[in-house]
Amino acid sequence: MNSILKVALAAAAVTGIAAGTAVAQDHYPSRPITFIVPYSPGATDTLARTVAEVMSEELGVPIVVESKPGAGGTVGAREVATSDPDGYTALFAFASVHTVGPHQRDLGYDFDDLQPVARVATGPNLLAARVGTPFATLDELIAYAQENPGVVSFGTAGTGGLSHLHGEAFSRAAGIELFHIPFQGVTPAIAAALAGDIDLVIGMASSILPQDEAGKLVALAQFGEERASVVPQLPTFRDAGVDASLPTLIGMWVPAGTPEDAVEKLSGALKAALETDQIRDYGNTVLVEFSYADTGAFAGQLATDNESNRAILEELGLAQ
Amino acid sequence: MNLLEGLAIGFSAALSGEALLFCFVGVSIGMFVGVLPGIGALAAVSMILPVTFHLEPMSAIIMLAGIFYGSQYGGSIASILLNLPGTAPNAVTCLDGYPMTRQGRAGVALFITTITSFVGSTLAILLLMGFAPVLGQFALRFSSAEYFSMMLLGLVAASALSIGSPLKGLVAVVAGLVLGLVGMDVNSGQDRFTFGIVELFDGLNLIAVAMGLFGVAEILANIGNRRTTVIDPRSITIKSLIPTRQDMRLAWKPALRGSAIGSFVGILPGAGPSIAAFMSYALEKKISRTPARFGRGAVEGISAPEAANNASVQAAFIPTLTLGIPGDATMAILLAAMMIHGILPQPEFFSTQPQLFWGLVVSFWIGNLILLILNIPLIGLWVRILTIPYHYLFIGILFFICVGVYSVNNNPFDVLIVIIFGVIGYFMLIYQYPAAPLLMGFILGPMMEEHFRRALLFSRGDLATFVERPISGAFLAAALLVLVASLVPIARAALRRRAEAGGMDARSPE
Amino acid sequence: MSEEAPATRPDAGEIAVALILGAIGVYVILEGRTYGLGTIVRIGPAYFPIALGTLLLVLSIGLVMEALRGRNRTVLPAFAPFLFVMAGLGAWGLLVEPFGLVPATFVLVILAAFAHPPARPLRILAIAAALSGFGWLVFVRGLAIPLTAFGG
Repeated sequence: MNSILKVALAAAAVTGIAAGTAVAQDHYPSRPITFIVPYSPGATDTLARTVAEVMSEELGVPIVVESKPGAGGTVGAREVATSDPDGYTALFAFASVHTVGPHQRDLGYDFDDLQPVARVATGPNLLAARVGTPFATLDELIAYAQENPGVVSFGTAGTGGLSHLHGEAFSRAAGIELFHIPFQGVTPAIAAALAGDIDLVIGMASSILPQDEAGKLVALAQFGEERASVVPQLPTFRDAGVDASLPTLIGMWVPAGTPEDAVEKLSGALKAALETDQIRDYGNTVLVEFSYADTGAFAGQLATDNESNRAILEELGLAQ
Repeated sequence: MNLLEGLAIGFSAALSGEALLFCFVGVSIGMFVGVLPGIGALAAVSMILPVTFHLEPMSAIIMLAGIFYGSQYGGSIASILLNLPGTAPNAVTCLDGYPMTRQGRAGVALFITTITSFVGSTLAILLLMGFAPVLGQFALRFSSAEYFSMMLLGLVAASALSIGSPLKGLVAVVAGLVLGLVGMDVNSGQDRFTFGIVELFDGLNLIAVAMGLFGVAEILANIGNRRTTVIDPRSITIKSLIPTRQDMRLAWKPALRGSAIGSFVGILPGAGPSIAAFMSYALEKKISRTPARFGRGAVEGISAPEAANNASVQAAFIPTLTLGIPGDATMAILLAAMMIHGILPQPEFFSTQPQLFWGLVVSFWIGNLILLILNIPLIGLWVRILTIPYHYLFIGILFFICVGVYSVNNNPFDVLIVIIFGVIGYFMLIYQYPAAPLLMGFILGPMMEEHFRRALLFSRGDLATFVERPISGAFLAAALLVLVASLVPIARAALRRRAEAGGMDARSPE
Repeated sequence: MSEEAPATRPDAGEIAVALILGAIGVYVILEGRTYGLGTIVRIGPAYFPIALGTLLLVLSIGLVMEALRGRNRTVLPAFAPFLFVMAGLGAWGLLVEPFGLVPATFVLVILAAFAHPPARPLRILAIAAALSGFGWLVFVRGLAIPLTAFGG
């Protein structure tokens, strides 16, 4: 079918007959696709642009990356959730807009309004300690915190954010009690850890690792399921005997009701893009673990996440 | 390595053809973007970022940094000419810059801001050269208690921003603080005063508030007065563009003080140029022998905050380069760009990568020099904008307000915020409530609350932390001093008014 | 001061503004009370709203007193220009995403023109064209603001 269409299109082009709208509508994609990145420019949008560039070669249409920041990404996510489900508007974001935000408040969209396309990356999110704590490894941290409940503080990018929830999930799994201190973004949390105001900080490898390499922070563990290739030396929680796997998912979504064929095409193009050397090298420089999972696997992971986040949010009194 | 060796390395690196070219391109883009209200360096830097992946690391960072500090030069232009603050620190420049325009002294104001911007940047660059690692470590001693106390001092000083009724000035500050409550509370995750509107979870958009209060309100007032042109075209002569000896005499000391405040504030990653500009303005008014001139076109009222905001932007490179702690989103992108090129900012950066560090710092200065040279001849051109008949000009201003505000979040919701604050600003003009203290309260309020509560988290509920920490204690003492010093004349005036009123009643038999 | 006309009566507008501010203060206190006070270690989100609302309320009483002492000097401006400017801004915000930059700008310019006569129709159209052209070139093409010239 696909090849027939290609032949038809080529024939149309050769004979100088413009491919009419009838053909364009049959064939996806036939016009530019928009990726909405729901954050301020500077980090995730650069990632999206880099991936989109390769995907666009794969799909044969331009991909426009738009920044639509606001409310932790939920403003942009709502825009995608409520846009036409035609496969031409996709969300490129952290999973928190799908599995955390809707539990906290009425956003104008729900979990079911977004259709997962595929997983792009799995963090890695790291747990790091300031220099000069009485613990230098994850095991020592757990032992110390068990003896001194509520003493060890951890800083995150905000109450109810993914890092906060993951921190709470980790401490529950490890049977310890940590003292949460929220910040406006991860940078001030890192500054506070450098200054010795907080003991632990949770953040993406791209923020934590440079400080670890400079000897200003001590990276203790990674939150993901398996050791990420960009930080192979750091243990996962499972490695330390704590039953918690809390990967920070970055992925792609389209509005619910988007034709399956469009979802498949996007997912396939993403898979191909993530396999290129260009993207692999890029991931290594910006310390992001690109890790493709197809629509089904990603959706399953999100559903699990959604349930566990709901439980923790309710326990913390942060659910609506 | 000593300073001279460093400078030698730096100049040889920064004066290479490639470095100069990218520096020029960077500052030019920055200046252009800065002139457009609303759209900031952030948008431009993030757009150019992917292009720089293919450049030499030093060229890439020189260019991105150039956009960042270059945009500060452009920002004052719309503030002075049209009362249109494109970014929050520029709102301070409006206070005396726009009155100068109304007096036909727009050219002088632009000239002075250009020069003082250069002065402020230069001073901060000197600090960066000489003391970056030390200052970076100092910045870490600023914890939440210190930030809170410093901002409290700023808030107390904000009363100095008002002209007219001191009570109304105070009300404006408190109203600003109240407006700052809107949005999700960082500490608890609780939404406050959002009415369920998702766009309000991050709070009211600062740029939209500033443009409404200053820009739109001014347009409404001018239309109401059926203004024909802002200034008489015939009044534009070469002489009218150049500051007098008297102007320069008034401007230079405030510029130096502003540079010092700006550099200090800039070193702190949690403060930023708005606070620098507001604080230096407040200081100048407090120590001036003729405070009544402020808000009515005082040269000191533009030279101090402009020097401060440029110094602060330049000094912000100190925590970014020495600690890897960026003070704002634009700095974060610069840091990301460095990381992509495999450069790790840390105190040892100076000795491990001397060529890069010194090249960068010297290029900052060269960039500022280019900006100075580029800006001066353009002044005459900018001033010509004012000769456009007002009934056409204001339409253009409205358009730039719309696009500029839209571009901040790419969301038309913010245009609605402009409308609301245009109305509020208009009524504030009519009933003589000052807009600047409101903006100051709005900027400082959320930060103060956040730091106050976090300081108590750090100290596990011990309020003494604010007094016991020496820097915080010093700021609190200063705040108390300023408060007392500013309450005395108010009380005295109130007493006198009462006495006069009593006397008047006796004379006029009603 | 003393040269001005003697007070006839206090400015009703001033008093109204003060009362509105006081009402806002009351609202902020009442709404703030629903947020949770927290503890001294972990101060809750209700603390600052209640404090600021109270402060605003107290100050508004001071404003009422100041207004009662003052005299009516406020000149309320014409309403129509004000309305046109606001309508223009509102129209731009509403139209720009569904219809594009050019139509939104034309509507803004035309509405705004009514706010401050004497604008000549042809000039106004030329301004609208020039602004939308410049806007498209600089903001959409140059700075990649996600807007279209026409259509969503």
